[in-house]
Amino acid sequence: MQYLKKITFICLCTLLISCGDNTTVSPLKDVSSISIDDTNISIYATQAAKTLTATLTYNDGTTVNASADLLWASSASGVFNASTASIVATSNGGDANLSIDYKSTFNDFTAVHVKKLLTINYSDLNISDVGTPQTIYVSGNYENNETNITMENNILWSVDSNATITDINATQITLTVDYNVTSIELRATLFNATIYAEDFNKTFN
Amino acid sequence: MGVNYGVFSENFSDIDAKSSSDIVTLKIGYGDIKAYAVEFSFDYMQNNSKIFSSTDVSSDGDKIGFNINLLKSFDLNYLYPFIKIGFGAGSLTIERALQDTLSYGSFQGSVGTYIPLSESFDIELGYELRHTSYESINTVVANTSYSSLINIAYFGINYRY
Repeated sequence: MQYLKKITFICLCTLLISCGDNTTVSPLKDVSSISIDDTNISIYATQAAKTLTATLTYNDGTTVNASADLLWASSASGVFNASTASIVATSNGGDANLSIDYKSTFNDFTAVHVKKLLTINYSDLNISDVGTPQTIYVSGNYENNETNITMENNILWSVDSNATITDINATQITLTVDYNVTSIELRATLFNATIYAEDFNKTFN
Repeated sequence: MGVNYGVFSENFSDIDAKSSSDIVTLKIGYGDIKAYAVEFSFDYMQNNSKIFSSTDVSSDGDKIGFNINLLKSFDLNYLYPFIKIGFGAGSLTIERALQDTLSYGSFQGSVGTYIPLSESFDIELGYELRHTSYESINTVVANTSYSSLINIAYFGINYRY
């Protein structure tokens, strides 16, 4: 009987202790929205991948960078491609939408404009200087009179058989004239389609 | 087979949150009141707290769980004290942007006694300590799991055949 009393006492004590408080306001944050930080984004056709960010807003008003956790998509892959937190042009000019999504519950989108490359600026080349590496500085002229834009991406450079390209970067090409000829043609092929050719015989004597 | 009624107090270890209310357990088992037994049970835990839900709902949903316990009891002639250990799983409804249910798993241990009333009926008094681990809460940038300790004091009546 003594044992029964002890057990009953323990149970009653526990029962009284158990009558505790209830949490009535959740201490946990919940997701309210996601948004692309930039709106009406523009990229150049020859621009390297543009890095973007997306922000998640919680129900308590705090925010956090959620760029890496969302699905990024382009509405037209023929205009630009989207991958996690970055976009890159796939056409010379065009408009499409960039969207972010999380499990079809949260999403946002914004417009993206790919600026069109019109012409390319070249510095001079001395085609009489055979065998010496020479640097040609290049830049793009874009729509809306934007000039001196670097050529970081989507351009394939080639030269005719009278010269050799030895180095390429976003602003310059190192080229060596191999033969004493009257003309050297340098070609820039954009998106494997549009060709911008420059005949250095015409621009330098 | 039998039914228990009890009260519980739940305290979370990683967040400042508490919950307390009633618990009803339906159970069926096989074994000897004086030795070993296995017990299967369904829990219904009323929920008066709002720990996981983020909407205007007044509380999270009630919990329904299933448990399996192994027990050893001791013959003291007029009493049969026991110890139980087991595990379980269950779920509750919640209201969050990305989740509407939350599963949990638990490990539990109990001490108590059976008090025989007749050859077929006995009363059960007990105390249970239950460790519960909840499914991760998804906040897009993180999946965070929470766990709690639940103290349960209960009494019940069993019918044996």
